[in-house]
Amino acid sequence: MKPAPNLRDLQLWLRWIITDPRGVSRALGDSYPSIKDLKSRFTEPLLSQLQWIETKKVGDVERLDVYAEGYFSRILESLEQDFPRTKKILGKERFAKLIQDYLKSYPSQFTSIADVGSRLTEYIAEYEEVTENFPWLPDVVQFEWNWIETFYAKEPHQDLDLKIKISNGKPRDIRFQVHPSVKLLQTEWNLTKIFSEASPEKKIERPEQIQTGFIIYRWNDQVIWEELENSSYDILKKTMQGLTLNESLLNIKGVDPQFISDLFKRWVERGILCGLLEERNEDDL
Amino acid sequence: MKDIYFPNLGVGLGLRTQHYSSVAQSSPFIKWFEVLSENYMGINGSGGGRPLKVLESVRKNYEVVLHGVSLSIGSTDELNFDYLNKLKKLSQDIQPRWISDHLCWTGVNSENLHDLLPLPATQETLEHLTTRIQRVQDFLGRRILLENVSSYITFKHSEMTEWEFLGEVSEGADCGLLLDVNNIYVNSVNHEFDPHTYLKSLPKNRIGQIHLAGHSRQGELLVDTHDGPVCDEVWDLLRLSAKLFGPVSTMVEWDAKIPDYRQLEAEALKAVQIIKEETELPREARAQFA
Repeated sequence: MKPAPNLRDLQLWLRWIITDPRGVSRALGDSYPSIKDLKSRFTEPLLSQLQWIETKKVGDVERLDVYAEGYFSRILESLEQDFPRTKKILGKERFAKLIQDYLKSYPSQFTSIADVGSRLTEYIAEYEEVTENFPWLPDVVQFEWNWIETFYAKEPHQDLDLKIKISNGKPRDIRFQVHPSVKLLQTEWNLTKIFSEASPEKKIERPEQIQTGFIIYRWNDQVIWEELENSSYDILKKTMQGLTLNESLLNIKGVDPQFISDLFKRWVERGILCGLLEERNEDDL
Repeated sequence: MKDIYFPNLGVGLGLRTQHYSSVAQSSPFIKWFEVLSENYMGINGSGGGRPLKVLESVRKNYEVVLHGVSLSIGSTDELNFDYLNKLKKLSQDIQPRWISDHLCWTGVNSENLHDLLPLPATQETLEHLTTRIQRVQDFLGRRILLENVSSYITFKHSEMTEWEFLGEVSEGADCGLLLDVNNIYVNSVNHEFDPHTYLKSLPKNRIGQIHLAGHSRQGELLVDTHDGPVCDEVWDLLRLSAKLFGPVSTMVEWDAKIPDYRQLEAEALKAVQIIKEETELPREARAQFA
């Protein structure tokens, strides 16, 4: 019998066995993973470690399987909740395959399981297995992740006197603070129908390929999303960059002043604009 | 043996999203909630968003304790100070009665497996844990509690029993213990030991909290799934714990297939009654268990 493994070697070995996408049995039987490009991660396991696991009553593979199954199902369950429409479009099995492949490339390095989906947008853009049949899926994934980020965004100090400050100042020269939960999103496909459909039974149809702007934000503790027409999208984008309304409107022609006034009024009422930015020092310009 | 003190808060529940609205109304005998620390740290360093806002409002009416799953105190990686900074900030904001996590490792080589993985009970592990727990306690400026985890494997090269190991760690690192009696039961079946021996061997003065939960069966093994009511065998272990350790803050965990709030309250009420019955026994009757 070889000497007992030190704690680090034991942990590296267990990580390998538990996370190997081929499952415990195949991982134990093959010291060199067939997935050549992942060799750096799935290093050669020290098969002799197995002899250090107690096998009274139940065998080692069955015992290790509890961890291996738990590893994948726990993350899968969390991502199913974070990406419900992506799952619905792909179906349960194809979604599970996507996540299994995703975890090979992006194993979690996060302390919270809520963060694990943060690179799925980036991953799916290159994942030809689904983008061939569902070219709009990267937009859906991006939308759903933005929803999560909005949910967890910081709660800022809400300026209760904002309306008074606006009416006392020159509204067109004000720089607004935008609520940290606000996400602006431009998609290649119009996702409005996909995200408006509440019924889980209804099949998701292929959306129209039209560039569309969306705002996702938190209001009254709920995550809200709305489609934005082009000028509203552009103005809000510039407001988020710290520009005044006058500066924002420089290259936008033919916008009705009443429309602008109503737009800002609504954004203030909905907490999208939640305060004023400090005046910029001329030296900073 | 040092005497340490964690106040008895009575019986509490785990705070879960599904019950936010029920919790907002007052509950006659639930005085405190345990919350999962990571759920209130936000994502991408964003802060806690809506969950933190809810927690701040719950904190106004209830005592709260923070319970983590990612400290990974047994990992051979460096301690994660990014995580510890977030935990310290959350602790400063929420002012929990205490902070707890698990006596396990959750990842290695910067990867997180999001599971509570077991450690061999060796001298090497003991020394590794003692140093790290002390560093964490120094950083947080407070004593923490560590929970015994359920496990499906044990190691032939372990040099002591799980209960001896738990006692050695808590004494060596001067930390508290969060005793999960469901995990003791699950392990007693999976690894064939007597759970009463386990309980009777623990350092009484280190136990600051007790967990109750349900489990499920997977073949010959019991798995700690937290998806059902507490079973009779675990209620019996709570009874013995109450006899041995007196009244200790106790909470019911239910994390999957979560029932309505009333059913959770009913489980908590059962715990209240058992603790009351056992700790109100005449002193002579309790002495035989001490």
